[in-house]
Amino acid sequence: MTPLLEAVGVVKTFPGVRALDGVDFELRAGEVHALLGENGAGKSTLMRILAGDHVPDAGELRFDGRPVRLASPADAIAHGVRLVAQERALVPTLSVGENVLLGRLPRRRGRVDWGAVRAQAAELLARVGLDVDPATELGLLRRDEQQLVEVAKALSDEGRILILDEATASLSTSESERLFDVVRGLRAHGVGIVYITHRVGELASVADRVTVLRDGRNVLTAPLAETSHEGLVEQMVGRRLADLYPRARPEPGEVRLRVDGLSADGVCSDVSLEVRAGEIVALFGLVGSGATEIPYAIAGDVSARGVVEVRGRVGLVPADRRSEGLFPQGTVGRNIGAATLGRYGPAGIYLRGRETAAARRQIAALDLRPPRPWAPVAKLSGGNQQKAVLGRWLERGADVLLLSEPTRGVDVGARAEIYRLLGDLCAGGRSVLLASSDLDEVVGLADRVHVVSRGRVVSVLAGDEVRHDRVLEVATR
Amino acid sequence: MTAEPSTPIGRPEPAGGGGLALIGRLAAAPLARLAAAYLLLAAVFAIAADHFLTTDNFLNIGRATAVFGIAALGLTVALIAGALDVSFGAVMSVCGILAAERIAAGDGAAAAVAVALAVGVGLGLVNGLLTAVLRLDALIVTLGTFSIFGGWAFLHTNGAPTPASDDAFARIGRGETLGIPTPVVIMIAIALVLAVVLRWTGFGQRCYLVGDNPRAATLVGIRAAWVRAAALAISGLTAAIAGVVMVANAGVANAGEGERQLLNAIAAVVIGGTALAGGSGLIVGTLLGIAVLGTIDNGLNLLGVSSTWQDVLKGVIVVFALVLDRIRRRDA
Repeated sequence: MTPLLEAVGVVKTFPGVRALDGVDFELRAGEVHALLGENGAGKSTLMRILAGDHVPDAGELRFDGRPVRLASPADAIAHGVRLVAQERALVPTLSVGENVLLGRLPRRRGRVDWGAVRAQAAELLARVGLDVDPATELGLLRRDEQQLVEVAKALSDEGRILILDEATASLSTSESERLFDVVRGLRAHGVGIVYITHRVGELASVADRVTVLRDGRNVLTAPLAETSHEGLVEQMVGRRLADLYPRARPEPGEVRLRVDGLSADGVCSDVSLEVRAGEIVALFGLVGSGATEIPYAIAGDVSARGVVEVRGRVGLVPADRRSEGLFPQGTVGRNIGAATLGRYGPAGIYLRGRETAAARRQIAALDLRPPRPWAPVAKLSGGNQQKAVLGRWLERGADVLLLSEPTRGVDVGARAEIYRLLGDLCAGGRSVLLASSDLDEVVGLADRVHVVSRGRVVSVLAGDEVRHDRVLEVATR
Repeated sequence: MTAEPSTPIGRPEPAGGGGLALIGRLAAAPLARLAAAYLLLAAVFAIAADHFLTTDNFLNIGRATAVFGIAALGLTVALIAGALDVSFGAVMSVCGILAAERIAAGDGAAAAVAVALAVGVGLGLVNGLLTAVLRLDALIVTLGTFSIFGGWAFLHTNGAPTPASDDAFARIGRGETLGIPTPVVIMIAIALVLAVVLRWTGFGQRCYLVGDNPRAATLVGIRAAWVRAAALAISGLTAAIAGVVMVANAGVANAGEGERQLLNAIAAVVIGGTALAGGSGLIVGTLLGIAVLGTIDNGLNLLGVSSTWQDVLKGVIVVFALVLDRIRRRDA
């Protein structure tokens, strides 16, 4: 059978980066083909080429076996390609029906035919299994419902190829399940679906075949049934999992952080935990569980009730580097010195030389690149920016590090480095509380996992119980 | 000596080091570009206008710019901390009127100045407290207080001028110190103090951090609202000084007089490269901005261009500076 879509030897180079280096990809009618890869592996570039947004430097695209050149998104749409991008392209103040048919509202004698809008929108919404009145204002819908509206919009005309980019990124497990139902339904209707994700865990629910990209190359294409979770992750990161996470750590010491009955409105209720010197304790929860907010409550950033006892200093590494962690106009030195300004001179005096010296110490300790205190922090990679934020607290002498989603938006090389760093810090006697929705990193790093659901710790797993299946089972219960 | 090139440890030279690279880096620095633009501007006027390139003329430029320049310096600090203070024009009027009233009451120059400065700091703190407590953007708060303070000045004086005839007081506005007009000396002194505060004190550094990212600053333990309030108090203080100089120079205080300096002062700060969104800026930049504005007014006056056209040209330059600011921010 001729594939619906083929990409052969696709090459795409951006200034300084070879984003795709001869990638082959094939999509058949009625299959869900998962496209896996870390940030920067080339997933987005391939997706944009398929959607006509980028023109490849070399290689060929074929639709139904015929070579085609896509010069613009309009060309791709004409060939039946529909993209549901990660960023929502919906208008919250318009009705659901208007959003679904945006740009092609049915008309009669020059005016919008509202009766036809309702009828057509209702039919499309039924196709994605969404039972809402097309006249409802879109902004009133839940996130998962909005995601389905995106899918309905993509299907509003003759779409044969659907590209879903990180479609579940903001959805809970049950919300994702609903999307998977729709995907399976479309597959049964012969639609070919490219399913882009970095969550290996959810593939079993939807994918027929899987392709893994790494560094712009296709490193694996295989039926999903012939792969394993661990094997896929290792293909993505390009190394054995055992090497990604530090292992040997010393015996834990005294209790450094004790939280007892911590409650904060809208964040968490009755959270209790302990972290000893040399331990990594994780708070794991799916997106929306509140797990990643708990460090803020412990650090006193949101008003909370309950007991927090700390031996030593606490440092909070926030989830959103750009909006909460970094001083984007500052240099590396200013970012590292921000929490210790009072130390760089007597009586309110600030001597930049001392800050620079402090920054050099942390740059050396963290292997931050480039190793220049006066480099603008905005030009650094995500991983090195995260190191600057970590270095700020190490400079402060923090004994207890509270981290919220420390590797979000950090590429895999830097991620491994941050994991190694956290291991080293613990080996040096510091304590780490890691709040994360990344199952792999929680299982790979933590001595104990507190599983969080709706702001409550529903279970504490330790030792042999810290496994993917156990943690996920408890979290989704 | 070995034949190998060596660099000081930990301080690698940028690739292609040497004189040319230094010139390249200077050309990339916004302030160097602004200075070059200023020299070009001055050169054009020097050729076109006979009396431009004289000491007296440059002292004239200084005299003409000192009032809005002094206010622009404090405004720079507030803007770096992320607080765009638009109330300072009204603060100038209020403080100038209060100083004139002290003079009229026979309290002497020292008392007049003390009252004006205390009130200036107080009004700045009012701005700061409203910003902190109401969690509103400083621009919104100071738009409100601009109207309140300025309105009070009219109500209090019934729109009538308040004479301030006192020799000691008049010297603040018209005298000379070391052969330089006193207002210019005051402006330079304030510039030095504020430059040192920004560069060499923890408070100054906190202004940059709070302006750059108030949320991150809060999370590292900086009381962002209070840093902003202090920066607004500094802006109030320089507005008061500017008001005193303005009234001392004119010998009379009028409601609405300070407000006329608004455009010039904000323009100087913006041309000087301080980010409107906060987090970056230098006193030197504002000084250059002041010089650019003063020189344009002066040179165009010498060439007989009407003041209306001068305003239009200044507006164009401000828009241009804002566009440059936007482009720079997008690159970063």
